[in-house]
Amino acid sequence: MSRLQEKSLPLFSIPDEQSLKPACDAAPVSPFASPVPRPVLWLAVHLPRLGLEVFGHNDGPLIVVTGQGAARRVWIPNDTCMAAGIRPGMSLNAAFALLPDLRAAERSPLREQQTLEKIATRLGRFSPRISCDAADMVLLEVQGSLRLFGGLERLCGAVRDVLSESGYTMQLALAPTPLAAAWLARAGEEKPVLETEQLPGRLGGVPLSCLDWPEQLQGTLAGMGIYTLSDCLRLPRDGFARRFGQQRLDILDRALGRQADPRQAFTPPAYFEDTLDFDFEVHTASALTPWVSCLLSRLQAFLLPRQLAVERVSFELAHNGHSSTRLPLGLASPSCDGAYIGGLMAVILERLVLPAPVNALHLRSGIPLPLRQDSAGLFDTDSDQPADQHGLRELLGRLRVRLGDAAVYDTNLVAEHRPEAAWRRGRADGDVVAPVSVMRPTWMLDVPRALEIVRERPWYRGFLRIESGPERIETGWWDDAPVSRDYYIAANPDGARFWIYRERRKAARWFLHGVFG
Amino acid sequence: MKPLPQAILDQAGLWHARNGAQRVATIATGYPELDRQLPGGGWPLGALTELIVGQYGIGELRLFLPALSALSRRHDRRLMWIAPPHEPYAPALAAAGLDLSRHLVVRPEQSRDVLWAAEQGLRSGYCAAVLLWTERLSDREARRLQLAAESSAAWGLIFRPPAAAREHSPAALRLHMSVGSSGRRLQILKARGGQPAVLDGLHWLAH
Repeated sequence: MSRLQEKSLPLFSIPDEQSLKPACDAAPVSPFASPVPRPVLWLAVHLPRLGLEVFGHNDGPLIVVTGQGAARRVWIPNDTCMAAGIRPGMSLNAAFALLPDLRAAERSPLREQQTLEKIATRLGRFSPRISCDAADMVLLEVQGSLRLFGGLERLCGAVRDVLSESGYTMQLALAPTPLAAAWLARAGEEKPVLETEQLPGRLGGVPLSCLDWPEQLQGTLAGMGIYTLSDCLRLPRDGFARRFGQQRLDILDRALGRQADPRQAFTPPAYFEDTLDFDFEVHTASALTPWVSCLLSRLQAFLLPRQLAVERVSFELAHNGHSSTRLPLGLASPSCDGAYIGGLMAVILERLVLPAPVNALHLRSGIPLPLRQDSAGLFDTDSDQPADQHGLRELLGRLRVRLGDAAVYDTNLVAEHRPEAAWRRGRADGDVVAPVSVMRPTWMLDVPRALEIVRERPWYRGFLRIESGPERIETGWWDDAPVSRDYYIAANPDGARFWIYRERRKAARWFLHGVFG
Repeated sequence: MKPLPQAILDQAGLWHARNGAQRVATIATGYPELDRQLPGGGWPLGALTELIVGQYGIGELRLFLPALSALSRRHDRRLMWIAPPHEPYAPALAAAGLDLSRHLVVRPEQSRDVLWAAEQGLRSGYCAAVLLWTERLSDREARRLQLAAESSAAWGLIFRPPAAAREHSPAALRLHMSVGSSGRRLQILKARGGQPAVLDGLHWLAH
């Protein structure tokens, strides 16, 4: 070993040794690299207990195991098990001997991956460049976000707040390259490294077990007396590449910032989806309210930084041994306000009768739309006028949720001579239609009602006496609902006044069409 | 009765019974003859008005349309029609001067949702008036609506069948409309701060 070292240059220069500059010609230089590279700073968020935390946060004795059959070993024990003396690497039988009533869960890489992506999504507000290639790590490029979040300390504090709120254990580290940040985080080195030049010195103490390298390779290196990165960096480059592969050398180069380390950016999912699993059963719908607001505040945290809003959300209540209850909810207008959607859900929940106790709550959003923000006037002179239309939308939303979309509507005029087609439900299409100048009834029947004929006179709660008319309406011959009618205003003996017509075609029947209320 | 000397009436410490009524916010009915009979000179806002009417088609909407039109143009607040017996015909409402952009119809399928929607509308502060057609209304329910109307200064307008005339009601104003031999007749059954009255032969409701 020492003979080798004499013959060739050391693998990497160690700053305090002031040795020759390392051979950089092996590293590809991007033709687009700017002469002064933009400084970057990667924040590594390491989740050492993610494998355990995906199974919930209760205090009951729980271990996560890996391996098959008799080779099953404790991977991560929770605090209760640690206190009972169970350690990682212990055989499953030994663990059961120490704590007979413990729960052993099989490691679930799928759940870990999903949880990691959820965390990456929630950290999306801190940086547009996020990478989550490793199984227990989210990397964020934060140099550009420092000013917005008020410096390194505050940014890290905010990241911690987001994760500890959900009960995740984490270790943070900062370095100019993603790999260095990841290794420092695994090593528990929290002091930030801000300059690339400091990297070789600061990474030196990191044990090789933090590097994600195969155990066999680590064993070989350990056999050579190489345990930390600084041991590794003293090795000659060509010999290292020959023995352990060019790949490993490249990894070290990337970590020290001597080679580019392009990362695939994490893309947050197009819509929001989250589940709350209960360790208990919820028996009444109204008791679900706090969990509903919890999911909705996560939805809001998903939508708001992206300036998105949703028009539809769907809750699903999972029951034990019963098909789940779906609660779709349509909003009057796109919203990203969790409290507003929560208010609408409360209307649904207060009338919901659960078919069975609930053990999980699932929320899925509709396709997000761009958020449209209305700003209130700077000088609100008319105090009678509500400052915003938000409250009105909220009122309409509540009514629609409880009564159905079709039960709440506004009306508008349509330029049309047929009385039944002269108005419509819903928004105006922009045409300004002048109101009719002739007499029209204030009440209109949905469907004209055929009148009885008694002694050749129309009869409706008494003989109808015609007061004025006819007004001939003959139109619509171009489509499939042509009308040809003579309208009259008629009164019955009780003094009520009606709008009636006689058909000019076919049987010349009489119909009641409106009431002068 | 002999009128009190002016010197007594002018005393600052004397409370006049009529003053209470004058403080109520009102909106002119659009019919001067009727305004003169109503305390405050119009329909009371922030309170319930009840119209008892035996049959539709005798001008029961015409009675309120001028005030509703004025309200629709005054604020950016809605007029909410809950469970009307027929479709309120938009061309006729527009011809009467009502701003259709403030017009909102709510048709609950179940009768208990009618009162729920009315309370939501009255309480929200986004409705200038809530019109409501209901067969039944208990005293307790009416009180709830009255409180909701007071809280947002909205005008609650309830149309009720003749049987309701015998019931007690907390509404600030109760009217009964019918057609007699001399034409349309409007009875003021109860007016908070005013007196019962009968108006007969109302041609302006008949057109």
